[in-house]
Amino acid sequence: MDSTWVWIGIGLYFLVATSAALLSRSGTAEDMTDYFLGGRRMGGFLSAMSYSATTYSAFMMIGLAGLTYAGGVGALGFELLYLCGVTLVLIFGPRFWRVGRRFGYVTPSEMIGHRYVSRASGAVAAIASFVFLLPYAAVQLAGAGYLVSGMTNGAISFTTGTAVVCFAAIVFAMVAGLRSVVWTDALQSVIMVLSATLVVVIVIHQLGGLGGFFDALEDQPGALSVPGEGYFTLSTFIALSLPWIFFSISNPQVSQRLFTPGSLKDMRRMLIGFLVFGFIYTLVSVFWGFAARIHFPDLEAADSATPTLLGSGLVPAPLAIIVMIGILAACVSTIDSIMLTLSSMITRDVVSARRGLSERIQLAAGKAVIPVVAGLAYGFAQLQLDLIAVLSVSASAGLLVMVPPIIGAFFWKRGTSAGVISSVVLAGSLVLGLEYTGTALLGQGSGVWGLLLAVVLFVGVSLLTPAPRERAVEFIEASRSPRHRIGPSTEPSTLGVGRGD
Amino acid sequence: MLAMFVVPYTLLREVDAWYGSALFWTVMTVAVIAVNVMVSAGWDDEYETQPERGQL
Repeated sequence: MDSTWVWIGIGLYFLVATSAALLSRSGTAEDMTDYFLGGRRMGGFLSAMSYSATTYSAFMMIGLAGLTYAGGVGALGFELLYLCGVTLVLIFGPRFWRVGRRFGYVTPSEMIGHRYVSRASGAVAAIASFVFLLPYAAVQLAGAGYLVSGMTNGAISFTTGTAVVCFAAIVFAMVAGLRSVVWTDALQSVIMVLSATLVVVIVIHQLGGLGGFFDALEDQPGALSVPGEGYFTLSTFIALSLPWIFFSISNPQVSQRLFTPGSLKDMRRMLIGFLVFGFIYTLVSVFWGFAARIHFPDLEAADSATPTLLGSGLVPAPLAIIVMIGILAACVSTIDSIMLTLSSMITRDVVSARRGLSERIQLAAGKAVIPVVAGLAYGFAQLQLDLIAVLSVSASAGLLVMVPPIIGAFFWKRGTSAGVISSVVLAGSLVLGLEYTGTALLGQGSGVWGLLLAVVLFVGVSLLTPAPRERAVEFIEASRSPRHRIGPSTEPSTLGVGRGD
Repeated sequence: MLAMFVVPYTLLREVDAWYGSALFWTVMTVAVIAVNVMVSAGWDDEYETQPERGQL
């Protein structure tokens, strides 16, 4: 494809998205809450679109399509199970939201540190997030580089592609913090879903409509059942699905969003809007993978299904560029949110927690950290180390070890900081070790063992160490609906104070 | 959600057509979304006055 048209497409996308970022500015952010949480005043619709764009990365149209190509309909089940897992927001969403207001939390790891009365446990949670999410962001950048380079036959280099995407993510994150991320995400989510849907409709039409599409699939034995041709064994299916079911509470770039809605009604709009978006985008991505499987059944690498289909002539060139922009948008919208969240966690939970910096200095430091995080992700992407790929693949499984401390925070008064630190450090290390050595104990994925060890350590070590009973009661009481509270009502007037552990 | 693991690998294992696991997972997801809609319908605004509501 002519690189001139690709550059024009990228230029237009950047221009429009940057305009949205600039329009999102609402005065000058004065503190961490304003910059990183949009002042806890985010509306439901934009939150839904941003949550969608943050969650769904280039994985959908490249990785999931490739998984469908290689393994058939099991990919649909795995991704829809993830979507259903977001139902956890029904339980944890209002609780995060209430304690966020009551205690003034900016990051999920700050919540962990305060709840377990231990800044060290907050710092450990923040560092674990950094270890697993930074390589994930780097692989997103690398994916964008490969896509642009592949579609232009190298006329735009890998390095240039990653640099452009990295620059866009920095701009969108830094213009106005969460506000500019949310506005650009919303725009990008529309590009993502419209471009993907349009191209799938065209490709299916060329196959004779839905009837012809499914007839062609039924001619491929095993494409529409599990384990089908053998790729999606039950163990593989569980190993893929389990970490993603808990994604909404284990991954800080999305769990932090539970602090941001202006009201519970806004949170409801965010949840329902995301579920509808995810349902459509999942079906479209899986159909896309199936279309590649029907048209090009003999590809050597499943991940090349999307570039092959886009470059095949089945998709008109202008539309292929729009789809490419949609995939780049999916990369950028995921990366900028991760950068923003990691910056807030490093500033709030690792640096400031130790030195007791003021809000103003924290905010300045948080802004300064964003390009540093971006630079690290860019550097990792350029190195293309095997370890980076390992860390990226283990990101969702690794963050699964955060689940017991988070559930325990809201539902188990006996949980302790020693339990948190031991479970996150040891179970996280186990996941890394299993992924690095490619070991599947008893045929099960690293996430299964990581979660099991995290539960055992969190419960076991907590029972052996003294629990912060008073804080646990205060926290759990504040997380409940006012109608179900036992003690006196906790009004939000204490926002931002009382965190003197 | 447990059924989404179990049923495709047991009852629908041999149904290699669109009305097999693909339809089952899709219908189950629609049902889960409906549950989310119904349960969250009870969420009301607990702090009407603070802070300012949804500006965006």
